[in-house]
Amino acid sequence: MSKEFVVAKNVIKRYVSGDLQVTALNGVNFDIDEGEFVVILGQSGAGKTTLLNVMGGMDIVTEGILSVDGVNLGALNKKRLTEFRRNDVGFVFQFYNLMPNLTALENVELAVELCKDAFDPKEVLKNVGLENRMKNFPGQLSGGEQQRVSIARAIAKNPKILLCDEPTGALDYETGKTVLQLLQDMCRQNKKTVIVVTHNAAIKDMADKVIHIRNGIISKTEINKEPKEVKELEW
Amino acid sequence: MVMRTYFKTVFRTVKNNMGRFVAITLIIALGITFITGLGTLSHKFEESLGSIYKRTDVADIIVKTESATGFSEDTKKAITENENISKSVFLTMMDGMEINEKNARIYIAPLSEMEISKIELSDGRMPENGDEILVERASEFVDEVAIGETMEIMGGEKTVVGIAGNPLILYNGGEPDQVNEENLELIVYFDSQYINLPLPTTDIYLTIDKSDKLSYFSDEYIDEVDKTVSILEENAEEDLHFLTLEENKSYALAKSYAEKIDVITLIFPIFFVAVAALVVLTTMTRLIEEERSAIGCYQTLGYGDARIAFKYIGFSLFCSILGSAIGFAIGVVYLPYSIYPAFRIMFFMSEMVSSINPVMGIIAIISMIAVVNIVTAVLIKKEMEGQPANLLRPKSPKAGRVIFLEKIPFIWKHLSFRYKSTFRNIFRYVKHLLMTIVSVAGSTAIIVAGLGLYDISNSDTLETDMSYIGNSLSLISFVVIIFAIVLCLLVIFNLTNMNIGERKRELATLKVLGYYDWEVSGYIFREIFISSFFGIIFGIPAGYGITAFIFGYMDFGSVKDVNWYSYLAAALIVIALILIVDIIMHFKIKKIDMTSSLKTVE
Repeated sequence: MSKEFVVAKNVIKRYVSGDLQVTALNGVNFDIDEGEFVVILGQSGAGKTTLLNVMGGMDIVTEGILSVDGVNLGALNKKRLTEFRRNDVGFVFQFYNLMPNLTALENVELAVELCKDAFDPKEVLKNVGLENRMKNFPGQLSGGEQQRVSIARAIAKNPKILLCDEPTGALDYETGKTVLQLLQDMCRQNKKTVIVVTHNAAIKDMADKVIHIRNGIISKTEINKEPKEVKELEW
Repeated sequence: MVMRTYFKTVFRTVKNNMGRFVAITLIIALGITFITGLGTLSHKFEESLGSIYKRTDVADIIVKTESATGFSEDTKKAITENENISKSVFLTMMDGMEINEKNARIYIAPLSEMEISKIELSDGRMPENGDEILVERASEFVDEVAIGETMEIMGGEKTVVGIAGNPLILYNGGEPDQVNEENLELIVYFDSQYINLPLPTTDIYLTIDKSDKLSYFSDEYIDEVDKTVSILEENAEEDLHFLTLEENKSYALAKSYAEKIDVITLIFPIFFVAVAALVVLTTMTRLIEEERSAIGCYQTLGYGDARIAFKYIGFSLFCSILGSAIGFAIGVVYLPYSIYPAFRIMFFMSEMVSSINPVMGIIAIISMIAVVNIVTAVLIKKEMEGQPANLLRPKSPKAGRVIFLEKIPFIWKHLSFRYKSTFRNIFRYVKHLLMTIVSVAGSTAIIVAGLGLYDISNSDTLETDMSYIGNSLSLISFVVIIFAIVLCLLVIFNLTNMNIGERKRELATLKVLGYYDWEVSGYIFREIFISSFFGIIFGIPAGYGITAFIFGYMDFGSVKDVNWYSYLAAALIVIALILIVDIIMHFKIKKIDMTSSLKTVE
């Protein structure tokens, strides 16, 4: 029933700055199925953000194959990568990255404007519980509300894949849980592939698949037969 | 050790803000070049003419008699032996002559032994007998005269052996005769030593004792000459005319021309430097705003206010001193050379003198450095007055807010989504918007005034002298226009660069969302274009005002003579400059790295 949606084969990513060469990913292999909720777990500096960046078409791999929905991202030129981000990926960042001079609704519209099969921004904001905050600017919203706008913005694009970089990193415990619940619902109700990158090991129990990354390689891949509900998580 | 760490932090601030450092250093350099170079122009002009007067020891006073038999021996003696007189020469000058059917003047003078007001050869050789003549280079028909050709003068065939220049005729737009005041078509010189006729002395050229340092264009010189003239007048027994350089057409024109140059070279640079100073202040204001949290951080670490302030004053001090030094060097050395040919359109001038008059430049440098650094210090002080905790928090109005346009649903509803965001951004910081408008308006106004000056310098005029002045001014206006365009380019570059710097995160976010490069760039460019457009709208009437002001002071031309399309041209030039900056900046925006720009919080 499920098919391999994201495939990484011997992915290497090196950064060169001057004489210094840093290997962030040193031969990464994994598969992610469509509709899976995946947690990529690792300490800071392990290479998890690099992995998220290359999966999201924000950066290109140095060696190896990384494909999303059958498309090898390494073979795309700059314009096609932009199109990939435009149509297929939704990003959620640790620091929300909302446009400060646009209202919550307009921030969602900003993303939707680009896509063909987008959802109605108002509907999506209603679904994340921001029905009454649509006309507020980011500066007038709490951290959790801002992160919900950011998730709404990612979801509304109706992307094939949702990539989240430490989505709870800047949030308190309760708010963090609300946000994770939202991501899990998104995955289960809309059958979207959701990949969450975090250093918070407590989150791994809610995932269908946990990919452990260490020093630029995958140290372990776990499959949770019975993922926990968000409310059962403790950290 | 402390100094070294201090310089390190200053250099680091420079390195992190390279674009704006280069932009404001160049803007200061441009302003100082302009004011120093133009400020020394009238000095260069007067001293270069003066050096010809000095070299030839031009006559300070010319005495003329109405008597047909010329000066009597007694009068000659009385005048030349006066104790105020240094040297003298006698000569015969005849106006109202006709040579080859042309209105001509004949000088018969001791050409080879003239001690003062020397006639200098510009081509050929000196006459060696009474049948050889020189032709004056200021003759209207000098171009038709060839060395070796003969002319019939007073019933004899005379051969032209050389072309000569008279220091009393330096203006090349025509010398009027003293009979009908019509321009002389031909002026010739005979050497009196070969003329064996009893000639009446019509003119006595005199020089007075004067200091070597005295400038021919100074009031002191005129006073001294006038004093001598009044003594001579008192002692004179017959009806004599005393002429000084003030009555000399070339000298008088040069003087009024220098006054016009003075107006141009004072008013233009004042506006120019004012715009430059405003741009530098805008830049420093925005730098300090951006560094808010860093300033707060230093404060929490326990750094004293003075030490924190020095970091930023160091930046502005470095820019202003470096820019001033570059500007002064170029302004003194190079700029006058590019304008000097304008003077040679009007006057027979030799090489430009090397002496300079840097007063304007030095005043400008001192005021530029003082204004920029004092205001920077005030800005920092104001920023530091709050508690560190407040500084660490982002400034409150930074969050978006509803702008007045939204209250007019008729307009707001019809704006596309992108323009809504553009307008909110524009009105997000009213202070930035005002500074943008004023600086773009200022540089647009200078372009308008430069084009206006160009227009009047080309406008048809019946008077030859005026058209000569016009031709000469057109070159100066050209330099003004070029400088104004470069200033405007730097202003727009600097504004765009600052906008991009402040909005890196937003631009990176758009990239991640999948906006194409040109859509991302459009996000910044729309804003710059709209706010600059307001600048253009205000700049054109301001330019009209400056032009009218300059023409009024210069007593030359009228703002009505400025072509309507010059205003349009100024607007189009500024729009073209915006597009050029956009193209350059598109590459910078393309290079913004999504991944690194998104990691940090502001």
